[in-house]
Amino acid sequence: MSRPSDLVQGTLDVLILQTLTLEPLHGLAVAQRLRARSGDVLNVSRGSLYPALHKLEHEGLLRAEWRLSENGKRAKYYEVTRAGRKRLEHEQREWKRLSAAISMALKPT
Amino acid sequence: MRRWWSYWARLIDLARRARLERDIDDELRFHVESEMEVGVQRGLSEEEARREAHDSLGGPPLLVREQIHDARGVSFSDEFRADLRQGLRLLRRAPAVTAVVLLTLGVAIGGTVTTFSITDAWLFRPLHFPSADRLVVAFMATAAKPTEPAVWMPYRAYLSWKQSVRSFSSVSAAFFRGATWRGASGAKSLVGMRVTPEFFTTLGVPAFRGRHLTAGDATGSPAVVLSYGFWQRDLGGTTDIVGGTISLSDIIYTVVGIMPPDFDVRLLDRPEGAAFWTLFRPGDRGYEPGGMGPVTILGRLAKGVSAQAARAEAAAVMERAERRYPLNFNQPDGSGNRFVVNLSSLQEDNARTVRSTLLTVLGAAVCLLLIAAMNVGVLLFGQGLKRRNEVAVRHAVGAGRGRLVRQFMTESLVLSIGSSVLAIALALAALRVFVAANPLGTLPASGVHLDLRAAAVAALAVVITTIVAGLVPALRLSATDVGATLRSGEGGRTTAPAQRAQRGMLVAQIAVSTVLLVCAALLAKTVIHLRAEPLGFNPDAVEVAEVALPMTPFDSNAARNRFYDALADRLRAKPGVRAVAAATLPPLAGGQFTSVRLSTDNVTIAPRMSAPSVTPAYFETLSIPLVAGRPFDRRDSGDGRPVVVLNALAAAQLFGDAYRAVGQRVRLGDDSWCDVVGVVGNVRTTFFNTLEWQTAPAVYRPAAQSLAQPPDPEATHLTLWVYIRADRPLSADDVRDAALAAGPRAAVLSVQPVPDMVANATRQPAFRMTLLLWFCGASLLLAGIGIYGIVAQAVTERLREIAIRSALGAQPRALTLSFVRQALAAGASGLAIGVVLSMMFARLLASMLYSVPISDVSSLTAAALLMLAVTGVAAWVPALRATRVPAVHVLRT
Repeated sequence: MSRPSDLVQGTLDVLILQTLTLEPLHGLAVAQRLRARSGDVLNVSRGSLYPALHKLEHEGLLRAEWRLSENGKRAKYYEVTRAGRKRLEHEQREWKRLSAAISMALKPT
Repeated sequence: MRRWWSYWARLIDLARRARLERDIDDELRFHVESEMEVGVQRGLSEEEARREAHDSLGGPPLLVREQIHDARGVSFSDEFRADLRQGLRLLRRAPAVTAVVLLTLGVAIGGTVTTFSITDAWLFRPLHFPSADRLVVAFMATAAKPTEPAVWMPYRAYLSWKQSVRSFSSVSAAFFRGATWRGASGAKSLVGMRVTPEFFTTLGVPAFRGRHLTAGDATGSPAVVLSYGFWQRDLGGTTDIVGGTISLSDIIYTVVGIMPPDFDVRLLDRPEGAAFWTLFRPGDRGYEPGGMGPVTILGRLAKGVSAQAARAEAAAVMERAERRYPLNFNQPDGSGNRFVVNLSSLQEDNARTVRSTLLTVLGAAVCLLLIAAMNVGVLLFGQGLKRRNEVAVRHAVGAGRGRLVRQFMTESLVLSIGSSVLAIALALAALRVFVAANPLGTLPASGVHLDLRAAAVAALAVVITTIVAGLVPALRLSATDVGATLRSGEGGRTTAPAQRAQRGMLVAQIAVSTVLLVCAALLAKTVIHLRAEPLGFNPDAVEVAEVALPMTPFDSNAARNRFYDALADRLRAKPGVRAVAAATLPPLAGGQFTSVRLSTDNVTIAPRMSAPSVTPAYFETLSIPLVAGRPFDRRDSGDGRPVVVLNALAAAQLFGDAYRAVGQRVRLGDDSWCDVVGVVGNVRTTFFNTLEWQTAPAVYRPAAQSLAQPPDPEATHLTLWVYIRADRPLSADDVRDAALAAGPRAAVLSVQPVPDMVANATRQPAFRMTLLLWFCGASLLLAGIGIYGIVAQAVTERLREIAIRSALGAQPRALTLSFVRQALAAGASGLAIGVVLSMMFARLLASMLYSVPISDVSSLTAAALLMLAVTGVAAWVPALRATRVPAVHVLRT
């Protein structure tokens, strides 16, 4: 079985954390949001979402809880923990630095 | 430590795992079902909707689940379960080894748990009394042996302590009293206590039915409190007994209360609790103010007062109070003994006789456990050797050393837990046998059973065996050169640390076995000494009957002697009876101590000697040799001159030697002068339960002159011990019939063979020896198996080397000898360590040895030779295999 590369995996983690900062969501909703926001550019549905959610939960960045969903079924809702928020801020800073550096490097002089 | 924590975390994880599986399934199902609903609404067929849902999920749910597991990482529980499966598979593959290991560990853990449970019940588990740790018992000891009871406390000490000692919040006195009780099934001899009114409140236990004895009961009609056991067993447990009456030794008592089932007070080495309690009554001789009647004093320490402080205060109060009396405990007795007060906790007092036995056996059980665990380590390692390749491959594909160690530990944990189940079953059975057989002759007051503490010990034993049995092979194997193993395809070379570990194991096993062996040898020699020592009389083919003569109708010396003569005639008429005699003391006992004076002076303290009454045939019946003068005969009748016969020690103490004694006069107590007509040989006696035959001075009086009122004023009967030497033993019924014919009110309480009573006196040492010999045999067997295993492995490991050497012309004998020599070398260092260790342990044994020094050379030599012999044989057998190695075959493969 093939594993997403670290870069892709890391990106996916950040995207999931970002998506969940606004409100707790279940896996399906996360998938839908991601698809909508990235305009299908990042197709996360190729089997990496749930493993990623579980990995983040295992690492303590997410916390899960069973609740009733909008269609009345029991669903597992994920929520960002304090550690998750910290990680997200850190990643965002890193990303800004990296993208700024890349833009500088790519700026035509 | 961390390793154990990680095991624990795994177990928790294992429990969580099932829930996690369910959660993942639910979560994925929610995704698929919700997506399918949307799809179906969009007009897709169910099949299409499902495919689309799976697509958005990222694949079929089963696959996604695997990926989720993958993402979460390999959990501890997965690894643990894999190890467990692997371990169980291996154990199934070698059922013989598994069975041997389970049995070995089962017996070793079971033995430890059993001995611990018994020891715990005696020594550690608190007694069934409120704040039992504050209860203390006082006795008089001699300055020479300040922790051993020597004589009873005088009643007046209780009075002075009650008045002045502040260290006690409550203090009471008690003394044993026998009673004859006649039930439906015949007369029975009971042991009860006479107590002071504070007795029950000092112990702090309320009555089960009715009430305690109070000060008021001392003067009114006689009152008694019964034990639960007596009430249930002999009185049928009817509740209307409270308020009713009971006849004890022909005195009518009102039953005022019954104590609860677990109220079991033993004082000064009684093997069991009392059956009833009555009060000391005014008019009891010796129990008036200033009286020296014997008592044991039971006190409750005031809060926060140590036993030591209480002892100091009580001793000072007693010293001051004694000064008022001309005859007192501040003076040495006739033999020059100085008396000191000793206080011991009630629990210590109860366990005095069994303490050393229990600790010895517990120590032996722990030694055996260690040996067994090491042995299982060797066995597992032997299995491990066959798995050398498997381990090497696993190591090569990335299993870390820690991972391999964990696997071995898991396997040995499986074995330990499996065997602990067996161990608990064995322990339950063993405890039943122990209670039924009662080898110590006494059972703890609180009963013996497996409880949480025993379970904790079992768990501890499992931890020890797991570590010892698992760590040894794990470290040993993971220390081997895996690369070499794989390259050579077989065997591989043993690295130096691995060989060191092996030798260390051998040395340790031999050392521990040696300790057991030496201790067993010392105890065995003690028993041999005890058994071999001449008793001074011949107990073979002699029975003794305990006959109680109540005061009515046997109210005089003449009436009692008439009864005895009639009984003896009837007994002699029975077929096979050779001789009949009687005494007022049972075999091996001293008693009826009387002061013996040579002058009319009543002020100096005279030596007190055992002064039993005996019939003329006594010395002949028991084959006690005459040293000088004559034994008693017809001349010494009730109206003849008062006479005595001394034993050799009494003659020596009073007159210097036996021949000088005959014809002299002595004065017994306050009575008139008696002529010494003869001197007989000394007879051994026992003192409490101490491990020693004693020789005490004794003055024998003719029964015809001395079966008068017994010295104990409250005694309601006189006990005669009737000795019968017969070719074949008489039954108890034979004796009862004869007694009934001789006088209907006489009660035959027991008939016992005298040899059994002698054996009982050496019961504890014999029990210790027997158990230790068993432990020793088991440890030798285990050590033998262990040595065999280690040498066999060494041979297997070095097959190639042996093959090459024998191909090059090495003598097979020389090869064998080299293996045996190596084992013996390890054996010698194990032996050296073992001997040093056993010297330390033997110091603890000192109080249990009788005329054997702890550094007894012959015991040490015997133990060492046996150990070396076992080592040699256990090494030689597998080493022989080295000579039969088909060299060509080994070298070709």
